[in-house]
Amino acid sequence: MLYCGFRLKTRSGLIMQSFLNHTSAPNQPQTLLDYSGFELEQVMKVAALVASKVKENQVTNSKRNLLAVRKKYELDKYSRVSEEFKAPDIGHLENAYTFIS
Amino acid sequence: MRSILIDWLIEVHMKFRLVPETLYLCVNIIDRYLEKAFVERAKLQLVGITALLVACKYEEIYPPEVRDCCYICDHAYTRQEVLDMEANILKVLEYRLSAPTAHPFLLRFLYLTNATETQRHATFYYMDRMLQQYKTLDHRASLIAAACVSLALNNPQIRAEDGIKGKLPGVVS
Repeated sequence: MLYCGFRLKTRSGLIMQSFLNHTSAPNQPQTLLDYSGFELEQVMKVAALVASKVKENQVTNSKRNLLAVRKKYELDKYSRVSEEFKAPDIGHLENAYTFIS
Repeated sequence: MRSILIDWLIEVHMKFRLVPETLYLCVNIIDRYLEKAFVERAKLQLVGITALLVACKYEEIYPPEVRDCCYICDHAYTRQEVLDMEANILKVLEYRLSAPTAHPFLLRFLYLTNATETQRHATFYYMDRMLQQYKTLDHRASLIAAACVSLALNNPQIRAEDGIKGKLPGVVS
């Protein structure tokens, strides 16, 4: 596989950055935006959608509950995340960051 | 109907003890196939189980056999029907099975943000829930993955459980 010098430099920079973050700065989502190239607004918009969908119960038109995912994540193997923890809230994300419009 | 099918496939995926990549690829194959082909309601389960079979052959070391697929459908379809559908799916998709699903993005983002085990599980939970949603098809898999990771990192209950102190990280620091 051929890499030009610039790409190689960028790639090694990202690996080094991820290594530094991994060891010294836990939970730094800034890295997420830098690495993915997404805008904050894009992530917030989709996060709001995800938060609202995870909160609501999945029910079909015939009033049937779709619970496979919830049951799967009730297992100890998955830290019982669907049972033990509240659904995500977009408010937590919004409060953590002051929007500059 | 799509959400019912995917709900059932998640159960089958668990029963066969398959790797997570298989489920994401399976849903991707179903969506791409349904985009191009007309499928009767009675054949939707056949499309689902065959897409899972194709995804298994791509991702798994030991994929289930065709007879396992027939068994899990309670023999609603014959072995030949599954094989015919497999050929049809591959023809319609022009053998293009490699697709950017959310799973590798999730793994990469979780590594970059140094997420804890519980945060990882929460992220996968949110992402699996999103597989059933039509609305998420409007967005790129990588963007949904980034949103799920951000929400898991900012769940105060999980942070308290994991003993992470300080204010919520938000999306930018």
